[in-house]
Amino acid sequence: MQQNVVEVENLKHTYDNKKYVLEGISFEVKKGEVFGLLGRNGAGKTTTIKILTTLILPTSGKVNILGYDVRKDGLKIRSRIGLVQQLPSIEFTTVEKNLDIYGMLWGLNKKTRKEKIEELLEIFDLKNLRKKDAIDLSGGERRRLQIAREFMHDMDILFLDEPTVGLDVIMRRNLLNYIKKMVNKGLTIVFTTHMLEEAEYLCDRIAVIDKGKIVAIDTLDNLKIKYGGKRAVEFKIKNINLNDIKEKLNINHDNIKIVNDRLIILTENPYDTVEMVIDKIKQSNGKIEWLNIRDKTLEDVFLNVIGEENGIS
Amino acid sequence: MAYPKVVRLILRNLIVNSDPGTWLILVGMPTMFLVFFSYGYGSMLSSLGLSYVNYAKFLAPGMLAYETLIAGTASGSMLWFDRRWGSLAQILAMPFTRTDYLLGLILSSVVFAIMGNAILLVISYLLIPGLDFTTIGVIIMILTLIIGSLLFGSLMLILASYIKSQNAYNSIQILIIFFINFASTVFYPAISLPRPLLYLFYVNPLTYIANVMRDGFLNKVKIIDLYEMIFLASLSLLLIYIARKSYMRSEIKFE
Ligand SMILES: Nc1ncnc2c1ncn2[C@@H]1O[C@H](COP(=O)(O)OP(=O)(O)OP(=O)(O)O)[C@@H](O)[C@H]1O
Ligand SMILES: [Mg+2]
Repeated sequence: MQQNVVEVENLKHTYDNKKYVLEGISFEVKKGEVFGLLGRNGAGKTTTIKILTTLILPTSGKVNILGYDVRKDGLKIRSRIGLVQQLPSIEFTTVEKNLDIYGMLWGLNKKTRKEKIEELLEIFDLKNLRKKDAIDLSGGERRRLQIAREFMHDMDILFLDEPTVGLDVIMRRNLLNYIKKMVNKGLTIVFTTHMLEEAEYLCDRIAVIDKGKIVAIDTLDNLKIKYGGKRAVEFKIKNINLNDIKEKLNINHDNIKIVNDRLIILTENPYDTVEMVIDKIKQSNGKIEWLNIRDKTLEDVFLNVIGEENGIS
Repeated sequence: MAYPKVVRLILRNLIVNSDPGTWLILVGMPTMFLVFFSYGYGSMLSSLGLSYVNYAKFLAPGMLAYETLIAGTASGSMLWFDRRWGSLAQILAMPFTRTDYLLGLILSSVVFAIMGNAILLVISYLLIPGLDFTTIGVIIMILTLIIGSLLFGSLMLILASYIKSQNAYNSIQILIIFFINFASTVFYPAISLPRPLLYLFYVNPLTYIANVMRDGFLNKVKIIDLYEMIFLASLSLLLIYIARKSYMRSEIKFE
């Protein structure tokens, strides 16, 4: 049994004592795991990260990081974690000095700092920018610097709040690969994103969070089987009532839905289904305006679970 | 061996905030006051048969006191800067307590005051003939500048905790600098002032700082200076305590 380094139980949070932005979420993260918090804007990802990194106190619930209680042992927790916040943050000095100050704040000696700086400038492709003032960097370059400096120090858990926003494709891949490398060395990652392919590439387990609730949590494969195992075939049809065609098709109620003006069918054999449905539509003198087969991705999971929550299905 | 945490924070504050602009405000302004006012008012005084030296000797320690006020306001500006650029949230996610951070700010103000005052003292020495410092005088000056910057440093942090926009903070800071500065004995003695103004001068801590600084500067340390210093030191401690309280209460709202 691997040890849990993050334990969250029935965590609730409100900023104004009226509206709960976290409505009792629970999850745990094991040592060496990459755990993704996936959710739309305002879902509560950053709030969760802020509580886990002891920046704000939870309203109620239990939160243990590395065995320490966030309410009592903030300092002990903070000395063993790293955090890349969603909000940009830089120091008003050169790229190199930014890294150096960061290492100094973490209490590293000069020699270690020097070595680390060289290594990170290389990895994050900042070598040519080392003497440049951080304020003059582009948005993506600043983000790179902000992420790079977090690797100046050793840590047990790294929290990344939408780290790749603003990074180009190549840099994003570099970063994700570097993170993977660090994970192989034993680092645990808690990671938020609304980019599904990122979560897909990186995460061992994913929690989908919506309006302050966890609506799905599992490994990527399990989530796909559970929510995305069937592909969705969508039709827009003219000239006939969608309900009529729904009656005529011999498909289990759970797998056929009408959303707005579209007919959606969940199926394991999308191509057979398409043929069958086209036949039925032709028999009824209907006309297909538009048709789509969605691939099996995390997006399916996401739309599926978030959709259910929002009553789209 | 790593430096103690608060020392690391002070080092960081000094590196990040030591731009030419800071030093212009910290040293350039008081130097300009010293030069222009000494010679300017000096020429007026010379019509009364006094030399500029008399006023320069009065003004120079006033500028040292003024320097503690300016260095104190640096702590509030640094806090705003850190909020604005995300450094505050980042530092608070590191192994520092909120108190460490706050102390780092206030003590950085003290370091700024020490450096600024050292430079000003040299400039005064070059500018004003016939100055003769004593050990006790210098000790009194150093203690006063430490107390003064602690006092104004925490005062500005209290303000920065309650004011919710950087623009408002900046305007209020400028207003306060002017008010505290001119309603004190920095530029002129508090003799034959009208009553209300006299009261105003004597509820203003900068008046006491200027008075003690002046006695240290001119080797006229009296027992009353000691009492004034004890009073100022107690006030500083109280303000640091209040600054910590108000900052703790406010900071979550600023996240
Ligand atoms: N300091 C605050 N005061 C009051 N409400 C807040 C505060 N911070 C966040 N909220 C609210 O809490 C909810 C969750 O915000 P949070 O920042 O956790 O979302 P998120 O999932 O990180 O979103 P995003 O993808 O946009 O970053 C939002 O409705 C937001 O408006
Ligand atoms: Mg967020």
